Amino acid sequence: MTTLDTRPRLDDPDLAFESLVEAHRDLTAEQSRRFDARLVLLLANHIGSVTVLRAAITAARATAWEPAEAPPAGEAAASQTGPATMRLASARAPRS
Amino acid sequence: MATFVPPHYPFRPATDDGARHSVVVVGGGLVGLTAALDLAQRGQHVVVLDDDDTVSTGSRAICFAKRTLEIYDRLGIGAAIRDKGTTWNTGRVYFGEREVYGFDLLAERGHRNPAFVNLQQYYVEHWLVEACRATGRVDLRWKHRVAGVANRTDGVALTVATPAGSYTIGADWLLAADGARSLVREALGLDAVGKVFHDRFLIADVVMHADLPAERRFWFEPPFHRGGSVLLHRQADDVWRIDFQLGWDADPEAEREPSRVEARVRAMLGPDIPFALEWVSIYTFRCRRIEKFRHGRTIFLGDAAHQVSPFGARGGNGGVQDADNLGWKLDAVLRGEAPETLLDSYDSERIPAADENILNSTRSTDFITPKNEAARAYRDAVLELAASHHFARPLVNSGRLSRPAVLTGSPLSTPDETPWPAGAPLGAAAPDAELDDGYLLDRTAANGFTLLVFDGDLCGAIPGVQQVVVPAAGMVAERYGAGRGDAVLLRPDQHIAARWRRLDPAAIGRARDRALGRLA
Repeated sequence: MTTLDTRPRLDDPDLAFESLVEAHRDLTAEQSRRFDARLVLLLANHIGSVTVLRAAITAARATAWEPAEAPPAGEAAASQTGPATMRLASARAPRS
Repeated sequence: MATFVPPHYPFRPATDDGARHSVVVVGGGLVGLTAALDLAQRGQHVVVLDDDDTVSTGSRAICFAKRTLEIYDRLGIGAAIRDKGTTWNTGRVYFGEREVYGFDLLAERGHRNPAFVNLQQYYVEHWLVEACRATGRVDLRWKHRVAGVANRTDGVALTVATPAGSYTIGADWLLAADGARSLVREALGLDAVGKVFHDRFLIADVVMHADLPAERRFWFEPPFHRGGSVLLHRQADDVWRIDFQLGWDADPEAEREPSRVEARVRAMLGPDIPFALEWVSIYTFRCRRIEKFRHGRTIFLGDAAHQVSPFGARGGNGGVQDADNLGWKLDAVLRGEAPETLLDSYDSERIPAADENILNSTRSTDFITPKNEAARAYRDAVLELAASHHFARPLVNSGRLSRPAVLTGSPLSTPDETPWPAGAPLGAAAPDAELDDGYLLDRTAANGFTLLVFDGDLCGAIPGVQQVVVPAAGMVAERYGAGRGDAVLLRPDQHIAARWRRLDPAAIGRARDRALGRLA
């Protein structure tokens, strides 16, 4: 397979999401980042195609919702962020 | 504590002010001497200008790759390097406290040369000097420093400064092999474009009688050097190369202090191994090249043309391949057997090779020196996975070790007329193979083309082509993807120029002409 399949494919999406979040429990930010990297590498190898990997990288970058302003620091400011201050980086981003 | 006493070559004042020479090489280092020796063994007279009077000192090239050893076999100093140097085939990678994995570079039997021989560069330079002298055709001028260069359409005018005053000479061809800070490059106003890595490395050559195997060992973040990487190589004379990554903020002057270096080495070796520092230097690495290597009658080789970081041993080995590529071409031009335009193929073949070396050494350096926290997370994740998962090992990049360039798409190659699915690709350096009575590469022509004929009848004589019959079964046939009656044409630098499933003297002659740039 050399194209990125972005159709809904997971048989149990809620369990998939829960598992990803659960895997980060008790990890520091640095540990989380390294965990994610290991996970990405395992999955990339499973996919086995640099073409698909690069398509996924492109799709992931294109779908970032960037804050309109610099991200606020600290929890007090966090409540001010939300959809009102965000914009979609790409209007035609794949919905996956 | 010196294990090697550098020779001092005598300065002799010039007696040929105003003379014109066919070839002048600037820089009597590894690459310049290799080019001079190659040309001299082909019958050319060469003047070599060097601003010093000895071989290189300190921490320079140490890992001589198989292809370089094959080139030095052709030039007659390969055996000396193998005998004196340390052969190694095993590499080990460590992360933190643990060994991640080991690898064996010796993939195949039946080659005269191993994957790598480690030897201090000064030995090789010393033997190159002796071999140059033995030809009687190399005029080695020590303490002759190039002070001015005028590159003209029909040759190059040089002003040379010596302890006995300045003089001028002309050169039909100037080979600039004067290193990373090339004066010739500066004189021609050429910029080397690329990147500087924001990191500093301490390179220590240490004398010790350590009971360690001859392996390449690479540590990421070891307990004895937190926050950096360390590389260990064994050289000749019980000298070991240790390379400590220090980071961009390190103070080069302070880090050079012997007591500070000794503390780092002591932390690595533990309390029981006696050692002495032989040489210490602090480096910052660059990966860059000039846009073109040939500028009319001036041709750049080695570090003067391109620079890489040391991870992968692609600097010295790349430079020796430059000399190997250029020597036979310039010889053919000087003999009138090839047009000057043949030398443009030096650019079309060696620039992609330099770019491959730059790409590989840049990627290695980026792996070793992650540019941001995300890069570091991925780097560390690869190392963690590699310990237990084979799939992650090819992702570990502590240096992609030098491999010979495959001259893909070279204008000198004759495209295959029939599919050639197996064996070395067109443009590859000829694979060596063991024969009943020696090695294949020893059978290639000393100066000229070689036609490997697989168990066939020889053609009639083809000028400039030496024909060698080899078995159509077994190791040689396998490595060339050839069968009975096939023929493979090797260039004078042993790269594969053409091959056929039949023996046609006219086609062979055309392929030879094409490789000599005679066909438009």
